[in-house]
Amino acid sequence: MFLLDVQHISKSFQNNLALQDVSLSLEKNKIYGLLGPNGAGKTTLIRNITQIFFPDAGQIFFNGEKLSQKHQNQIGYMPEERGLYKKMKVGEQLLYFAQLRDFSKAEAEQKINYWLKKLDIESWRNKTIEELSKGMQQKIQFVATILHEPTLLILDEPFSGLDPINAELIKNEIFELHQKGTTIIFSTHRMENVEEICEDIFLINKGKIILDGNVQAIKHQFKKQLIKVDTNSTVLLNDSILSQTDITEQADTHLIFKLKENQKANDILKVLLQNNIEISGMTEILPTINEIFIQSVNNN
Amino acid sequence: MKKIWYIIQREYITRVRKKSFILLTLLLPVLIGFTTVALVEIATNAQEKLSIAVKDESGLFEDKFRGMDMGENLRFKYLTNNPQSIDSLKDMYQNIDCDGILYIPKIELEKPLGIAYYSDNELGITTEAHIRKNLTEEIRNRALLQRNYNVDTIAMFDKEVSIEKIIHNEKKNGSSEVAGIFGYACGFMIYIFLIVYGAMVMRSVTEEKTNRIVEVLVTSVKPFQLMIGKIIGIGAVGLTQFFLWAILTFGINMLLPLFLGDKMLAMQSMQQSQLANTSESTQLLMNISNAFNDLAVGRMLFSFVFYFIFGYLFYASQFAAIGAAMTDDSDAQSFTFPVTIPIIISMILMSATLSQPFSSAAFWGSMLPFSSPIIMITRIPFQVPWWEQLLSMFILFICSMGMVYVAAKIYRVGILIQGKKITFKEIGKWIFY
Repeated sequence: MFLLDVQHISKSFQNNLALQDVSLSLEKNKIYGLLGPNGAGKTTLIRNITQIFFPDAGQIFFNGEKLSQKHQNQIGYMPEERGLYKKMKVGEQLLYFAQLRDFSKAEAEQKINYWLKKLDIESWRNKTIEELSKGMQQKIQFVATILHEPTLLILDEPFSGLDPINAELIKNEIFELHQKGTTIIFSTHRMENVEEICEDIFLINKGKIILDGNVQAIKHQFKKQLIKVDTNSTVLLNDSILSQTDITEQADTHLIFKLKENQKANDILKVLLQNNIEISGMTEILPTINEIFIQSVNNN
Repeated sequence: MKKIWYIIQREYITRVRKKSFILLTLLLPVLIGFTTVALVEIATNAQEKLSIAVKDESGLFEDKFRGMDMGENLRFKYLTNNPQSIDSLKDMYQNIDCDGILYIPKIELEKPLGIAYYSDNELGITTEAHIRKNLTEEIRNRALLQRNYNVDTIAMFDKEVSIEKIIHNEKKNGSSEVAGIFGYACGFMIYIFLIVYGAMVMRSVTEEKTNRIVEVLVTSVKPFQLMIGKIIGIGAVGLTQFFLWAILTFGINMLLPLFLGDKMLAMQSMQQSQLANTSESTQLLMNISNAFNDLAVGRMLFSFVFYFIFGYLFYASQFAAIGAAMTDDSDAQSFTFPVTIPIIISMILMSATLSQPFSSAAFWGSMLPFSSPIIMITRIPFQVPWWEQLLSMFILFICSMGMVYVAAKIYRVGILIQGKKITFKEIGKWIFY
């Protein structure tokens, strides 16, 4: 059974069709990337999942049940644009958010203590938000999002504005939550994060899902049959090599080949060995998610 | 319900804890106290102490001026045997230790022209009125005597008529002026409350929208809960402030005699002695106490609280909807205009209501929910029939609930729309989403 099953949802605003027949299924305990250019419909999709909006057509199921108010406390959402009450103290603010999530005061205090200690920010408890730097505020926002231990965590650009140290810290927390069984949707433009963190991705453009699946599988699907061969020294290309292979790039210590039809990496290797070329390594060049993203959006 | 309670709590606590709230709440009654002290000081210390010489060529007023002295503050010196002409006297009144000279030429009783006052300083309003009144009376009495009328007989019939008011077969003794003042005060308080706290609701909604807190909040509470919690929380802040002002102002007024001591007593006795000649002061006091008896304090209090709460709900929800539709502060002007206009019109209508509390404008003003919280509360001291009040309350109740419903619809959509100018047409569409 899927944790979240979005089935054929559509949503329009006045004359603008924000989502068109979008379907996606999320398994438990996985990290998903939700990618798409600005205005593609990512936020609208998230808002339908968090029940800020309701779809015009289609249905959403959570743990096999029709998504409803009772699931709200199982979902945590950190929007891209952060929002905290500037004049409120950190402790009071977190308590307020926890109470709105139906926690008793004692339970909430316990959770707040745990997280402030874990992130080593206990001394901030009595500071107002406006006294904190932007990065510090991000951390508080993160705590507010996960305080109620959601089973589905939706993070919209969670690292924007964070320095590398704090970004790493939050990343580790995300991995830890994942290990504890949380399913995470990661909405971002930063493709290096997607490759590093996500197992599966959904690419959305103009209100439609145009690509989805396992990150590695998608990379293979989009690969351009390029093989990179590392050499110890500059290779002198002779007629034998040139006639049997298609070289796209030559540098001092490597060569890049494009496989011809029905040609395999081993065939390239065989040609090079036959010509007594010393090889130190060989890799298949896979496209980055960034390249796939740009290609897919342009094709769409 | 619990969530609404948390929202109310937050809205309330964060506001009453603010320094600006505490300062304003404490300072206003203190300021009123200081103003009272200052007024008493000015009144007792800065009272004109005038000595006026009187040059009477008409010979009509001999001795009359002796009875016109006002204690220490106004004394007349009648220049009986001074042969100098007014032309020379008017420049040398200081030599005879006077502040000014009052010149009465030979006058015709039918046409008393040419009376003048020479001085370096203006006469105070009360002093001038005092002199004028006495001169007029004396001239009138002389004229009557000349025509062989008996002045005392005429004075016997010179009585003010009072009108007994029997409203719905019940005798009312209160004066409509006192009722008017009371109604005006209540209406004005509601007006201030609607404007100040309505705007506070609007600012608070816009703030949550612009710094995106709302996006986080609506994943755990319904927009309606958020809006109503905010409206109630801020309303409670307003009530607290009014309540504290009332208590503090009362307390400070009780303490004032300690600071002012005899001065206040002196002032009170002075005011009373000024009024003592006529029965005005006792009449006024009677009017006030009668008016309060007529008012039925219970009814007034109940009505005030009702119109206060539901008027606020009616307007605050509109302000909340506007706050949600605004994308930045520059929208405030154009958006608040349609909401504040009815409040301001009500304020204008209030003055008309005071002079004619049973006109049809006053009647409709107290029925329409846009103006009823101000107009009806102004009219109640004038003994508005119960059916009218109940109907007005019913309309206001239904409309404020309806307004909360409509506002919630606008609010729900508005708070999530960013970076786009919103038109009234679009807001209209949101209601039907």
